[in-house]
Amino acid sequence: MKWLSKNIGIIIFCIAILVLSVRGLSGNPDSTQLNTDKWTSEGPFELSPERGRFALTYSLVEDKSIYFSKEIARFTIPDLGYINGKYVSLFAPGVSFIVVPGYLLGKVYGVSQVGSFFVIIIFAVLNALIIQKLAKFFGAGNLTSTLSSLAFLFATPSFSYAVNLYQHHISTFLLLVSTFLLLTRRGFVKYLLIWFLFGLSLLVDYPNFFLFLPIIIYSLVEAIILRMRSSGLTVKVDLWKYFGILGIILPLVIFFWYNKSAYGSPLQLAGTVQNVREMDSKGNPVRSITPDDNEGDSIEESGNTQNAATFFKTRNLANGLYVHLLSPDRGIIYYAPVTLFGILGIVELTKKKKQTSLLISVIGVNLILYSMWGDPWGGWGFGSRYLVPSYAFTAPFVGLAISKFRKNTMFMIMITLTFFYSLSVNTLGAITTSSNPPEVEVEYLSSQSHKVEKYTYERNIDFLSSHGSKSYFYNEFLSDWLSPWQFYLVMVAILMSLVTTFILRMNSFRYGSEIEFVLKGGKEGKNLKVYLEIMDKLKTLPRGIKFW
Amino acid sequence: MDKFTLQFTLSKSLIIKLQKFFDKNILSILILTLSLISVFAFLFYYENKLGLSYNDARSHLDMGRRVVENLKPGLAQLGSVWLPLPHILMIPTIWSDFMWHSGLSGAIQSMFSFVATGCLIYLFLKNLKIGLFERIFGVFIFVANINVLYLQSTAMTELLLLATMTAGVYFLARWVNDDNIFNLIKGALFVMSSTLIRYDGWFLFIFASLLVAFISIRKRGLREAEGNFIFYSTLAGFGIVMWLVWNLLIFKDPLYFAYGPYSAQSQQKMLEEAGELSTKGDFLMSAKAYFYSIFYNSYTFSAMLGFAGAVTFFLDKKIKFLVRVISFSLLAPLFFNIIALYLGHSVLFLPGIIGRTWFNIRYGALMLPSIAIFSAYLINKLGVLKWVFVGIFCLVIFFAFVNNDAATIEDAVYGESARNVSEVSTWLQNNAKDKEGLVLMSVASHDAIIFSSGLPMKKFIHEGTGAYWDYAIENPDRWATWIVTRTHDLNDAVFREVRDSDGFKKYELVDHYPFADIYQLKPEYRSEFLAKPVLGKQN
Repeated sequence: MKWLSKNIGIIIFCIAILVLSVRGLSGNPDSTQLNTDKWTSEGPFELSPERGRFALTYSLVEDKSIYFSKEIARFTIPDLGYINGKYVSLFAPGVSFIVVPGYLLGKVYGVSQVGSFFVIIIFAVLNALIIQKLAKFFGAGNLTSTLSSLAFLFATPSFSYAVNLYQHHISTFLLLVSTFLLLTRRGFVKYLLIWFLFGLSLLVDYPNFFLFLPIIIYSLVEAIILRMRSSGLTVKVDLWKYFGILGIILPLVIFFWYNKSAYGSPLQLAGTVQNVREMDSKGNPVRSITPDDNEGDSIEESGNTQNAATFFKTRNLANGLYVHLLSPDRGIIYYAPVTLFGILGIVELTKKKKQTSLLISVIGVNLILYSMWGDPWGGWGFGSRYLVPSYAFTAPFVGLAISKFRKNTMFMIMITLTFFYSLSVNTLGAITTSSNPPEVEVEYLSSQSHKVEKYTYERNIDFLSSHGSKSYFYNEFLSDWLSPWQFYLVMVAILMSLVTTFILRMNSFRYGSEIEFVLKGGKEGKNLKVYLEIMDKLKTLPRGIKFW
Repeated sequence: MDKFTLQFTLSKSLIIKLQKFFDKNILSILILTLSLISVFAFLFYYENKLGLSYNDARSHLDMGRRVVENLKPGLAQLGSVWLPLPHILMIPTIWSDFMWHSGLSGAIQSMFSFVATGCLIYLFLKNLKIGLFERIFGVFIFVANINVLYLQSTAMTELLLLATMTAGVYFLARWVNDDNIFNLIKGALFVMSSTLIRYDGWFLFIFASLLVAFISIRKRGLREAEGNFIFYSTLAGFGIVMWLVWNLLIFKDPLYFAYGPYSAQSQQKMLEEAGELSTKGDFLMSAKAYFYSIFYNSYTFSAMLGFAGAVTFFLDKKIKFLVRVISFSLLAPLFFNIIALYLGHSVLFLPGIIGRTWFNIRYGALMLPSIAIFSAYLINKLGVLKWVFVGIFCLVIFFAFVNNDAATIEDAVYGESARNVSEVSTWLQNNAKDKEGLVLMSVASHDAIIFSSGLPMKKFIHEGTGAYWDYAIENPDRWATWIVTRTHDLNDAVFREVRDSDGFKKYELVDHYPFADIYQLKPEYRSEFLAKPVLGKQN
């Protein structure tokens, strides 16, 4: 509770900013309304990932079914599955289940869609709080750890995906909680929980299996203790830690039950069923229409079945890395350059704490895995959405880099300016649209639309000027008072002010205001942290204290 | 909870025994393991009928076979363009039809080379005082690669080149370390071997000779450097000299291999005329093409580790400066291939980057031992982070194997390096195998057909059959029952030579395929032709 009261201000601030930005419209749309442009291309369901997940939520609540009605199926296209004569979701079901309470609560107030999206906001804020805790665990101070959280939440594309219905923040939450438990807790329950969260993550997004591997391997290795003694090498294996695997049973049962019910087999995954790209006027499936296809071919003839493992190809790796790191349409260097300062934190900390390797593993697996993905751009989107877990796991290191180099004026100027740039870019993405095509599609799009199609955040600037904002709060309550640009500038100004306040406050004390002493003490080797407000207090300390 | 705790102690003496056992036997264990993997991979690709997919693999086997079985057998069949060592090594086994047609006669040297290269990577890393885990990891990087496993199962020359080049550099690195002249000699002998396998070896020879000179100057001054350089380059360059002499003796031109009608240069000239040599004169494109071929052969991640490792290695002041200098030779294939592409002496197609299909993508595999060595070195430097990179590497390899990601196989099966000659060869098998008469065809155009037909080499009149060829192209109707040509393609020697002869009019086109047309002597002229070889031994 003490922790909560200490952080209540920042929690409220984060929720407020995210609520101001959340995409949405008033009303409890029915299946017919959902298919209108108001809700799709011009509204909160502009892309198929949001539609596919919301469709299942809607179906569960309104139709009490995991199968889609024809109207809902039409809403879900092009990510629509078809099996045994029924329309199903092509996405893992976890997100749709998790946002059901939000949907129901929102429905009471006539904002079922906003209610659903609000659930993601909760996860985003929780992520920010865990990042703060992790940054502190690795040695960052109060202010710098909060800056880590702010960097993650508002200075990366995570912002856009916090105000929308995507799986990334839930996946990130599961990864962060597991990591936090692994690093800071002891006892059997920790292992039980980690395996439970691992199982849950599979319901949210199948590739989480791979993202969780470092955490699972770390937890398995933790059970083995090697000690070199005079008698020889003592090997101790705490087998009880392995019983934590029991935690995965419940989520796996749900996972298999859902797959059996929806796709006919416990081991059939959503992405591997036949994909319907178009429906005829009667609501029957028609396969995707391309110039080479014969219109009207039935889905059975298309034979579009896929093997889940073939989604990741090593041959995509070079291009994927370029897309995620350097490309103007998705690259970190353009969308979240502030996270690059985390590298300094990583370099600094790796020498000191071996636990750092766990976080770096998750970042590495995330980056490499989605660079092997056939569509590293994540379809149309804002920034690299697949890297949301990486932004989260890099964020504590950003705080650590600030802690380390805060005396360095040039560094502080650079990181502050980069922070501002990142905030500006990502606020733009959050309050406008995620509908940005990848560069590779632009040539074709331009030939169709006969105009220059932009694919970087410039597209969002144009959107702000021409269409305004997709923020629910703005459109409902502020549009009469502020223009979209004014709304954007106010949002950015608020965020920049907060960051500036933190940075100034951090340096308002003299050097050493947050110096951390670690006094070796106690039989358990538990460290005692002492924060000093001013350097002068150093003089009063007894001699012989060792610093690290 | 203590009930569920397992605890045991390994005594110090046991640990020391284990350590001694591994120190003593690790190389044997490695050889055994790699041999098993090698045999398994060969059998796998043999069963899948992929082992002979490369057009060049079949041609290499034919070249070896012609030395021992041909209308005009003999060492002269070693030819002028392809360097001779791989074919010489086939001679002891290629006489066996099984060894020839299974491809084992050529693959066996690749298999030995695979095992040797794995061991050399281990030894190279040991020489650098890299830890045991990292040494084994280095070998693993090299071995856990479908491209390598495939190439070692074929009669291609890449693995043999890798083994000799890596051995050459390894012994030179040892020479730098211990100043033992025998290591310099061994290094020179292996580099010489590599110069007789592929022309990449020639570049290594020049590169390594310069480095030997530089190192000698640094170590002993100019005078001794002169001696070392001459000694080394004489030994290592002996193969090149012999090849020039060979070309002079057999083809009357020491540079026949470089400028002759079947040389890479004339092939590249055709590509250039067709506008398909886009790397020529474009350094960036050449570098991009070769780097991509490395990425596709190494699954990218290990290539990135390798390049990062190389930079760290060359900047590492803890390693002797001269060891770092000589290790630069490990990058010779990189420089050679980029320069060769730039100069237009080599060609590389990668769909989406250059060309519409694959061609020569395997050239990227030549960097794999270097990548393995530098990656293992980097892993050794990373401390606790090494497990992160080892883990990610394993993840990448998992997906590579699950997806059977092998650009070299795609090149062999679907790319320019493939040639589906089964229709022509099946025709010959069905219609010419048990009948009297010879087949006139150009090996430069149709070597793969000869191989795939299953007919004995003696059944064919080709460019390497001396008087048979000379007579047959003049009066084909007297010597050949069948003629296989690339009709209307003047690059095909048979078509070029016989198209205007009167004898050719006595043939009828019996079948037509994408790669070749088959002509058969009309029945009314059969009484006049020579159905069996009659010329006896030719000089």
